[in-house]
Amino acid sequence: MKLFQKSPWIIHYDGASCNGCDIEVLACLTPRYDVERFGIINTGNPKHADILLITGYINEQSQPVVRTIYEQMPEPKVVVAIGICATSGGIFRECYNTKGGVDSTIPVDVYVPGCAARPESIIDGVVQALAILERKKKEMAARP
Amino acid sequence: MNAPVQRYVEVQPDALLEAVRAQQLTGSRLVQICCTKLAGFELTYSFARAGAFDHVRVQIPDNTVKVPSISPIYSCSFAYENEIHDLFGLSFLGLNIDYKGTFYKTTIPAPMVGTPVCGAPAPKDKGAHGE
Amino acid sequence: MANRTVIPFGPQHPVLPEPIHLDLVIEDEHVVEAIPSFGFIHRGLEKLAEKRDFTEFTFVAERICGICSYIHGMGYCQAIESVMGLEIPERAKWLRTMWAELSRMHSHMMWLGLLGDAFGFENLFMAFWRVREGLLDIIEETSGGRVIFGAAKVGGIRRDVPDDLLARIPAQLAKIEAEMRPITDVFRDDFSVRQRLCGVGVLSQKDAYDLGAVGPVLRGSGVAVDTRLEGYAAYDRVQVEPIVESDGDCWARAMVRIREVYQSFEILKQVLPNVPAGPVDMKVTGAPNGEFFARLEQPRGEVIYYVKGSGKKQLDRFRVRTPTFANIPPLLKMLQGCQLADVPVIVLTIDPCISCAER
Repeated sequence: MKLFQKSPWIIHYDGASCNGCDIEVLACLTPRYDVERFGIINTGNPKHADILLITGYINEQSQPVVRTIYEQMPEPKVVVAIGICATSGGIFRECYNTKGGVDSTIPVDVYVPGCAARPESIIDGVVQALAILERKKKEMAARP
Repeated sequence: MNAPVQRYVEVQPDALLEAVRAQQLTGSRLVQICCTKLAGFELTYSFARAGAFDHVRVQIPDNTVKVPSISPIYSCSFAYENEIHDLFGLSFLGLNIDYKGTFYKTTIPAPMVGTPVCGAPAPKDKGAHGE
Repeated sequence: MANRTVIPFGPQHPVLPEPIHLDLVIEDEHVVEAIPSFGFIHRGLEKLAEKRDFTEFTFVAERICGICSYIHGMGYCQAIESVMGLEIPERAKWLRTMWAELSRMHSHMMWLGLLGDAFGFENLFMAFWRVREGLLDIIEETSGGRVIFGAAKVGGIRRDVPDDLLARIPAQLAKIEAEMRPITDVFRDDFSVRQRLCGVGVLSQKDAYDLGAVGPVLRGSGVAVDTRLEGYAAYDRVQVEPIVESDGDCWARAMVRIREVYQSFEILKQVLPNVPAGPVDMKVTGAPNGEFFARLEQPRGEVIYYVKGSGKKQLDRFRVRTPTFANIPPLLKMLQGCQLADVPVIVLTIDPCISCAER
C-alpha cells in the first residue's frame, strides 16, 4: 500500500466533546483496532503532526486553542472532524456556549459521523484523510 | 432504599453562615451548591454525613445583593461560588479564591439567567430529502 | 530565596488526555501552588433542560460525559422518577444495576491504562485497553452502544435484554477476570510502578473529607463513603462494601480502583442470576412537579442530580454536580509541594473527566 508509506502522525484535540469520541479515538490505537500497524502514531506535538483529529464542537474558549494547533501544524495538513458534535454541534448545537462545528473555526477535510463515532468509522475517516494528504502533497510539489 | 430523608432548612441571607457553621459542627461535608433562577435566586447548599443529607436554602431577591461566601468555613466552596458568579451573575463576599469572572469564559455574560438562548443558529430545514 | 516561576500547563499538552489548564507556581522543581482555569469544554447543557421535553432530555443527560454516560442517564431518570413518584419495574432496576457496574468496570480499566501511559508504561496501557474491549463487547451486545449506551429512559430502560444473552455473560466475564489478574498484579507488585506512585500526591484523611473529595480519591485516603450503600436501583439487594485504602497517595487511589473492578465482578455474579422476569418499562404520564436531589455513585465518585419541575414538560432547572468538579479542590491540595515531573500522574489520579466537570 503506497498510501501508507508516509506513516502520518496524528494529533488529537478535544474541542469540547463529551469524551465519548475521545475514548474511541484512543481505542483506535489499542490492540483491537491498532492503527499503529499502518505507521500512524498519536503525537502530542502539533509541529510533528500531519492529521488533526478534532472531537466535539467549538466554544468561546477552545476556539483560539484549536486555531493555534492548526496553525502550528506543517503543510500539508488534513483535519478530520470526529463525531456529530464536531460536524455540526450535534445535540449541543442550541446550547448558549456553542459556536458550531469545527468548520466554524478551521477548514475541515473529512467528517466522521456517529455519536459516539465508532472506531471503524474513525479509521475509515483517517484512511480518507490519507488520500487527501497525498493529494495535497502533490499539489504542493506542483506549486512553483 | 436506605437513603436518608432529605431535610430542607430555609434561612435568611444574614443567617446563612451560622447555619453552615452548624452543619460543619455536625461533621458534614459540603456536597454541592446549586443556584436556581426563579423570581429571584434560590441558593441550595447541600451537606452530607453518615445517615443524613441536608439542604440549607436561602433566597436572594436580585443580583445587587451580595451573598456571604462560605469559603471561610468550607474552603472548597470557591469552585461552586465562582461558577455561580459566572453563570448567574451573583456576587459573593469574602471568597478565598476569587476568579473575578474568569472561571468560565462564556459567549454571553450570566447565560443561565433569562430566556433560553441559542448558540449556533439551527440548520435550515431542507425537507425530507436534503437538498 | 528561590526563584518563583509560573508554568502554564495545558490545555493541549503531550501528556494530558483532556483539556484542563493549570497555572503552576514553581519554586525550583517544586510546585508551590496550582491555579486551575476552566471552560474549555463548557457547553451549558443545564440550560438546555429549559428547552427540551423532560423525557427527551435523557439523551442530553447521557452525553454529559461519554465515559460514565450510562450512570448520567440513569441518575437523571432516577431523579425524575423520584419527583413523579414512579416505582419502576423490578427487571429494569436489576438491568440498570448491571449496566452501572459494567460501565464502572470499563471506566476504571480505561483509567488504569491511562495511568500506565502517564508514567511511561505504554505496555500496561495497551494491555488494559485490550482486555477492556471484551467488556465493551458485552455492553454492545446488551445495550447496542459501545460508550454511549442509549439505554436509559424515564420509567425503566429502553430495551430489554434477552435471557439467553444474560445467561452467556458470566462466562465472558470469567474470561475477562482471568485476563485481568496478570496485569493488575503488575500494578500491585512491579517495582518501577510503585516507584512512580507510592508516596506521591498524598492527601490526608482529614483534608480529603474537609475538601469534599468523593469516590476513589476519598476512599483512597481512608474514608469509607460509597453512595451505592444507599441502595438505589437494586443495590439494596446486593452485597456492597466500600473499598478503602489508607495511604492517600497515587498508589492507594489506583488500588481502590483495581479492587473496585474485582468488586464489580462479584456484584455482577450476584446480579446476573437474579434478574427477574417481567416488563422493563412503564407508561409515564404527566410532567414532573416538585424537586429532588438524586445521589449516585459513579466510577469517579458521588454524583448529584437536581431536578425541579413545575408541571410543565420542560424542567425549570436541571443541575448536575459531577465527581470531577468536587475533586478539583483536593487535587490542588495534592499538587502543593509535589515535583513538577509528578504533576501529570497526580492530575490523572483523580480520574479527571473535564467534560463532566464543565458540562
